[in-house]
Amino acid sequence: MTSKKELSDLTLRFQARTLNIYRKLFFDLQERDYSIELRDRSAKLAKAIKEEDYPEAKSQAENITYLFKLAYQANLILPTVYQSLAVDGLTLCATIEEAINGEIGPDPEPEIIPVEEIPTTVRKYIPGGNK
Amino acid sequence: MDLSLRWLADYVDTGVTPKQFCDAMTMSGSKVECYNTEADYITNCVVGKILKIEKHPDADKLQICQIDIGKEEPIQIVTAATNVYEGMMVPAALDNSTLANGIKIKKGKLRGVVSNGMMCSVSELGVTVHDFPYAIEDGIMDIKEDCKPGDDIREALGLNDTTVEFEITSNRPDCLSVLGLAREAAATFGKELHLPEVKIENETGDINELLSVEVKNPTLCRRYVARMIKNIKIAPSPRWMRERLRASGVRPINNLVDITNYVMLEYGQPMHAFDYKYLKGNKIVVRNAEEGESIMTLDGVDRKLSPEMLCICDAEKPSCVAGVMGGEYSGIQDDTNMVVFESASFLGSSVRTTAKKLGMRTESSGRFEKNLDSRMCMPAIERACQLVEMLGAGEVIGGYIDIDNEGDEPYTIEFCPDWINRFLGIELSADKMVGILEKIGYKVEGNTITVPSFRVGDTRHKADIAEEIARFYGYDVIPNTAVKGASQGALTLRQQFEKKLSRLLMANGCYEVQTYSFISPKYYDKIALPEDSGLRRSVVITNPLGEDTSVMRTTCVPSMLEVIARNYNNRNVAGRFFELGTIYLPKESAEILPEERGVAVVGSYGDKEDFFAMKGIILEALDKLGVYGVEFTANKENPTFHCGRCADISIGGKNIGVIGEIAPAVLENYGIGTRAYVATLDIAYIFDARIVEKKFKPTPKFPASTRDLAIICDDELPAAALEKAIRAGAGKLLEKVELFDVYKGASIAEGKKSVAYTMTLRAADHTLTVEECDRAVNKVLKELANIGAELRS
Repeated sequence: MTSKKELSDLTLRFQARTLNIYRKLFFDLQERDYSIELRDRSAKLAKAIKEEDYPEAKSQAENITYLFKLAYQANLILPTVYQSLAVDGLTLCATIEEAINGEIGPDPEPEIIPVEEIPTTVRKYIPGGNK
Repeated sequence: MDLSLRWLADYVDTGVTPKQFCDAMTMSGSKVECYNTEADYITNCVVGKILKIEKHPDADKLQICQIDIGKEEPIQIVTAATNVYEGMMVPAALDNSTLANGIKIKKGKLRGVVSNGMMCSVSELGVTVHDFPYAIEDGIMDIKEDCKPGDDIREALGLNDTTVEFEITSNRPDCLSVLGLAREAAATFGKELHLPEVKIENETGDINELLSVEVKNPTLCRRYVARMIKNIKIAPSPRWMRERLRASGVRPINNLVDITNYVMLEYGQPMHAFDYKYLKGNKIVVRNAEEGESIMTLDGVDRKLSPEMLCICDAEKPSCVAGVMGGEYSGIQDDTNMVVFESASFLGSSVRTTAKKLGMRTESSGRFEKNLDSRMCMPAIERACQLVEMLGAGEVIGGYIDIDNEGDEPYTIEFCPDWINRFLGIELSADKMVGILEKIGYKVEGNTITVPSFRVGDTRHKADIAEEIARFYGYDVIPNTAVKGASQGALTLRQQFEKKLSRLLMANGCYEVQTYSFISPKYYDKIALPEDSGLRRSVVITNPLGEDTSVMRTTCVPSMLEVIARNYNNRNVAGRFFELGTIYLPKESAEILPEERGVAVVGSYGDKEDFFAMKGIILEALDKLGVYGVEFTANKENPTFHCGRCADISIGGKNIGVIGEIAPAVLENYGIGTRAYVATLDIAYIFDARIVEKKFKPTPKFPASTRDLAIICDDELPAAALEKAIRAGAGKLLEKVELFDVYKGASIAEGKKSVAYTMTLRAADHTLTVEECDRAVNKVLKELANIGAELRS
């Protein structure tokens, strides 16, 4: 069972790759259709995951994957790169689908970090001598 | 410097209240710290005369005294003191009076008998038997002063002087004297200065028949004057002298010692009195100490002398450490019959070094180290002899010995009234300027100002003259005007560079911190520095503030981790810091000063921080500073940093710093419970590596071709190596190469990764053909193959 944190990490990674492609399309190739949509949908995807709106997230992930396909068909990205992007996209969609079906587990227990006591020593000011 | 206003009144009558005096003196440049009226804590205490003493009916140890306090009826005071007698003049504290240490006296009954107050001892009045030598320590004070019953005790005993405490700066040793301050006061209030008239009535014999003086080091001893006194009569000093000494914070001892102290306070010239019978060979030799010589100083401590120390010696041994302290037998004893007065001028730096080496800073050394005026030696010794005669403390022997190694050449400065007016922004006539200058001892003849000998040390330029004019003209009356002209100062290139670096780091959200340059040697263990690391060799501080500050640091990393630890412990969830500090790398020999290298150290911690964020900060800063070609090489050997999350930063193969995540063990040593990142940069290296000259390329005339490459390579292979191979393969045609995708997962073998680059190819003189681009790509693939990377299929 996938945990919320694992889903969040998966989304974050996919979003990062999406934004990299957006950057390449928009700035390097001056592409103005797919790239902007990729950027907007990746933001909506992250928001939906954060708000646990999984149907919306799934819709965004599917659309992003479809946009990658269009970009690939327009020769804007390499086939090998598209292949791996599609794998990531489909994996994410499948995981979100599990979440929609309630197959998502709680986050693992956070690591407890021992907290040191706040030091209470008062430094004495020595005129001309502290530095 | 404590100044008695009563003493000052002998030389100048200011005619103002103490507060007005203090305000005016401060405004004219002699800063007053505070002023105190002596014994102002005593209230309602008068002189009383014991008229009658009776035994207490119910107590064997108590006596009932009837005391005349100048009123119609005497008052009754019960006392346990045994030294009282009828007719005795005593200090009588009346009902509701206050004495020293806040003691309050009230009317009361002692074994059924009413007591209207208390008779006081010297200590209850806040004075000592040194101030009143005829008084006894334990018992009622028997007043031997000229007074009558009912007089206020403070006036009767002379405890009503006002003392003003001045803060004298080190450039004005002349103001460490009553005469110096009187001169300032006279100029401040526009009053006449009355200097003491020094005249010795009777002199017998000739000093040259009794004593000879030889100065072997004329550089360190600029002047030495000696006079002698015979038939010494040791006795307490008169009341006026004791009062003045006490008001100046000096304890009266006996007439001869008090005279030397009095002259020191009056003229600012420390003096010493040698007991003639202890001067072997009847000779004074001023020389450097010999190797292995030692002296028992007046405080009873045996001190080893070294050859750079100047000593006043007799024919055999040192009697005195010049300008610092006398030897055990050099002072005045009860059986002293003949003394030699010494009034000398020693080189200030030598006295200071000697006093510091011997660990003793005396009133005398504190004055000598400010380079006293050697012209003051003679008037001071003459005044001392006059006082000896006046007090009947002995007979002055005729003549003096004066060895003057300094000469009498006056120092002159050109007098430029117009320049001074322009400089100060005032309009003062030349005559008024001359008036001010002459009041404080300067002589003006035509266009030449002769600086008085006591001001030569700090009056070297016409700007100093302008300062003298300004302070007596009044800083507060100089009109406000806009500043004219332009500043000539400028930051050096290095300073500008550091300032820019500092701003760039601040722009990246870093707080600037400043830490001590000295650290504890234990800090090297805390950052897990290897035992054999050269960085463990530090400059050790001779007089550290503590163990934690005992060596000069050779790395800034511990200081940064201390900052991170403190912030983490204070519950700050995240932080970015930087310091432009210095490290101290010792040379082979401890005699050579260490190499001081400027270092920029950046530290961060918090949820949003990681290695790449830190790398971004560094790259951003270096790029903006014009430092290009920075390479990051993985370093797994640095124990301070996390293995695999650390890289050396280099430019052209030269290591300029390190960047990485701090190792968990090191974080634990500092009590940091979160990941922390630190990067260091050698400022000197990046300063040298910067490219100042900006080159502009014309806009390309021909189109570019872009080629994307998806490459499979080992997971361990750094992106920098791939980029290097691409650049090598594509050669001059490559305009830009950019990583745009990294992928690990399905269809990629374990231990491998897929990275995708965009290459932008362009020629400056023609449009690239497909063949040219293909050739470049093939070359790139060959280069990539050499490092084990291949095109993803």
